[in-house]
Amino acid sequence: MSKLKKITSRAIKLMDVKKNIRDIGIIAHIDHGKTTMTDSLLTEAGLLSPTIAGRARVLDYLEEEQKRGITIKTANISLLHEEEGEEYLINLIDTPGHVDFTGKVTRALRAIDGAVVVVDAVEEVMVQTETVTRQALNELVKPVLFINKVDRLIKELKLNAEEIQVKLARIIRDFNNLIAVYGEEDQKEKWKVDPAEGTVAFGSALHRWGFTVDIAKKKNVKFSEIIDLYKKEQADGLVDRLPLHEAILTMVVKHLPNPLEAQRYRIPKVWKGEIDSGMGQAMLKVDPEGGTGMVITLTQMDPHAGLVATGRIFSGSVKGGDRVYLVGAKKEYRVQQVAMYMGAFRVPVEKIDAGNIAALLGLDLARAGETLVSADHKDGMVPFESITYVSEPVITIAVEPKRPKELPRLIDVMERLSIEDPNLVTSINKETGEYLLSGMGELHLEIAIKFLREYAGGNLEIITSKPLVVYRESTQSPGAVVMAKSPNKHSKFWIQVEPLDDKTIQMIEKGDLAEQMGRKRMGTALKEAGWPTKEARNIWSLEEHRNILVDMTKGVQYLREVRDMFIAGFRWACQNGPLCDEPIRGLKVKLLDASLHEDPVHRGPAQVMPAARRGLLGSFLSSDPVILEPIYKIGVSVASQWVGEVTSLITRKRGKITASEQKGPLTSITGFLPVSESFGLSADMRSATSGHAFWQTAFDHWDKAPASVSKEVIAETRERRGMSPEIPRASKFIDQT
Amino acid sequence: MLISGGKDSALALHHALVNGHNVKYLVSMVPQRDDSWMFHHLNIHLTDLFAESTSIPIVKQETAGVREEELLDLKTALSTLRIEGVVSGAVASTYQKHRIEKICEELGLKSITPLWNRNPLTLLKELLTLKFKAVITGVFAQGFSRSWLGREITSKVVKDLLDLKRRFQISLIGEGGEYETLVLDAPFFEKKIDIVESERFWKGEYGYLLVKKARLNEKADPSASADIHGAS
Repeated sequence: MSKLKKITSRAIKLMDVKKNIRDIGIIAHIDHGKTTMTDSLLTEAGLLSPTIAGRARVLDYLEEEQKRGITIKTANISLLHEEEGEEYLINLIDTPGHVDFTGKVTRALRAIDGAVVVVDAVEEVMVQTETVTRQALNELVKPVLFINKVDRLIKELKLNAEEIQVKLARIIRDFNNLIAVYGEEDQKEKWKVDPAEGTVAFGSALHRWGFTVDIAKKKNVKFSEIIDLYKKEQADGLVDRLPLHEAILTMVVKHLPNPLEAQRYRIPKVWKGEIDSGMGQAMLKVDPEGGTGMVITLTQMDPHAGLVATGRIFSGSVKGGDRVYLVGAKKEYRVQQVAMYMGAFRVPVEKIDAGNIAALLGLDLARAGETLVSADHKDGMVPFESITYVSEPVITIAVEPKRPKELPRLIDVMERLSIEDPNLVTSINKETGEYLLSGMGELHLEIAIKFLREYAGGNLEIITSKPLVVYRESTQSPGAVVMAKSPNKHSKFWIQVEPLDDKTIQMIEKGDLAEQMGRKRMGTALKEAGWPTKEARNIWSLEEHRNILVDMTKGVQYLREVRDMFIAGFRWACQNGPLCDEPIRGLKVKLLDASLHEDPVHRGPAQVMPAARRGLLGSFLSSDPVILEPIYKIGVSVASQWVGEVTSLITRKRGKITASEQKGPLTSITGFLPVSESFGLSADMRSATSGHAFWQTAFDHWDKAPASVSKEVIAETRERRGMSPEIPRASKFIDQT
Repeated sequence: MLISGGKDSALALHHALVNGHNVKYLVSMVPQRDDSWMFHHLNIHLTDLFAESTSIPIVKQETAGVREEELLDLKTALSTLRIEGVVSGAVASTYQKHRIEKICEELGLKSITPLWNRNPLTLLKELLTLKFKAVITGVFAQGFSRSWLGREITSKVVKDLLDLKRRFQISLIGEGGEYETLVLDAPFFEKKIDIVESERFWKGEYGYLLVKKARLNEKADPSASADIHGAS
């Protein structure tokens, strides 16, 4: 530990030198070599002996990760790097590559300013490369590129220098295309990568060598020489001549922004408060003396220490004993301990300040996405906008313990798991006895079950159902204007629903429209998106499943007093649609008029909430509602002779092929596939291609299910939930004057 | 005395009698609509039995039940009577109290509200101590279910109401129209009302119990009690 201690104390000193800090992450498609590369960086940091780097995968410290050879949980580490006589502190966050864990990538991105995107030279830019790069750009995280596994081009594919150059150029072109498509206006040109500028590195993480054009020139190494060395099997010396960490860390230090530079443009994007306020200015300037502003990006349960909340401090500082306030949980805490990360170790330190990553103990209610401020700044603190996830949990399984008396234990571990992984939705319905886990894909759920068993001490036997797809209810045309009365008949509401336009839904998904912005700024954003002023200015609520409530009434007396109750009724209705109790999505709900009892005792929540719900459901049912099913984007990489088999397999499963591109000996096929058709795809794909296809799926969008499918879904779901077989009629929810 | 047959007006009547008021008439307003802001609608036909069991003459006045207009109907009814004041069961609804006060002022009558501003929980406990028998005949708020219809107000029901108040902020005595009751027996009743036939209606978020047939029986006669829970 003494070496670790020494490094830690140097790191602590550097925390004050903001321009020498880099908060970065490494992101990639699964198996493109991210963790292997990270280990190679650790060697240089003196945290791992050189001989085992490349095999040890230090960051993969969960047993499950080691076994599967993939990274599941995000780990953090700080390293030191010297460049041109100056020492830099690099706070590094490792992220999982499998698409089922994209949610964790998104959260990690909030904490970092720059990212090294790793792309496998053989497989090139893949579905997940696109997903994570898009997420990074959306969070204004600047990317640089590392093209890995160049050795395989030489040894396995036996390409010559010219062919290798064509392949590398194609990867860079494809990557820059992603930046052009998904980058923000201000950055998309500036952030394009270019080997000549030093924003692209090439190498082999496994063999721990790598270079940028600049380094190669300085060291006088030509690419043809590397090819020769591999051909002669004399490549072992490359690690000394072109150490990988040097190429990567030089690129990071020179081309990724420090917190002072990055927070200037990232804060206005990720924080929707008033920039001219004290907190706004403190965060913009990374002021260690200002009020503390931090966003929690990861929470984990430590069996000994309890909840560990990790995140990025944007302003101020955190010390043990500090009084802090969680804006979302609305709760004040005293910080028990402050720590920094060194791989699998959490090292307690006295204090961490703005621009750094910190782990805090003692904040039981902290969750990923939570905003933390110093207790004396809690008044009026605008929370960081909730992190938007590109993926959504679209697959559900029911779980139950084999021995019924172990139910309390199961509930206990389910709650713990949902704290650690916000993308895993657990729902416990004590009335029906249904215990559900929803995740992003089959693998995500498989791992979740594994964790449940482990957390319970390994002896909890769990029975799982076959996976079920999660659906949404929506509409494609406006519903009728309906009137709904409160149960006591004393208050009346006139309500109409209509489909929310795609543009607005996209704004919500990108985080450009969020409830935290407040009514005024949501109004400005919607007006720019083409909404009529009257509607744009009167947004009452924006619900998690992309439903918007608009107040279009004029001068209704007492309406302000029932506003919150009406919103609660709106949210309640959106949670459980009338078709089969699935959430409603993409609805614009307009409150057109209301007549309220003038006496507050006659218009409490028990009156207003049911009326809001009745009116919404009544209009919705009159609108010709539809079922939306989740659709995966699928990417398959396969040798040309199997292309026909893969194409017909996807088409047979109601899928669509959107592109097919020859990339060297492999063809990359992309398309869409309904999630419900993806079960058992592994086996089908194996048998269709004799196991020669590499493929990935990632949630992409919701789409209207064909009538036959939708009928079946409604019937099955209603039966499973013990509902009567018939969808209720609109008239059940509509009152007559 | 304004009477609806529910627990509040019955309790107010009890207080009026105990306080020595000479209650000359029971006045019952019969609205034609179900959304009147002022008057009880449900089972209003049973006020006849209520009056009979108390031996006080009843005056019934039909009203359309349209907001504000219905007040004129009340005024008309009251103006024909030779009385000095009007007793009502208002507890917390300023809307009802103010409107009655206004009519009284115009007619030169005194408005008497024995229950006004009293603690709802105390009032419910008082009903229990005084051995009122009141059943729930209608529920009109979130949190209630079909099974509430026909329940007699007991300490268990009071406990369940407290729970709904905590969860949905209903008024404990149903002053916001959350639930309605029918008094079947009271200290001042000479005979008690027995429900012979009733039907329950459930409309998703609200429901009511319609009394189709009821009659007066001697208080001591236990054989005549009907099982309203069995009605459907």
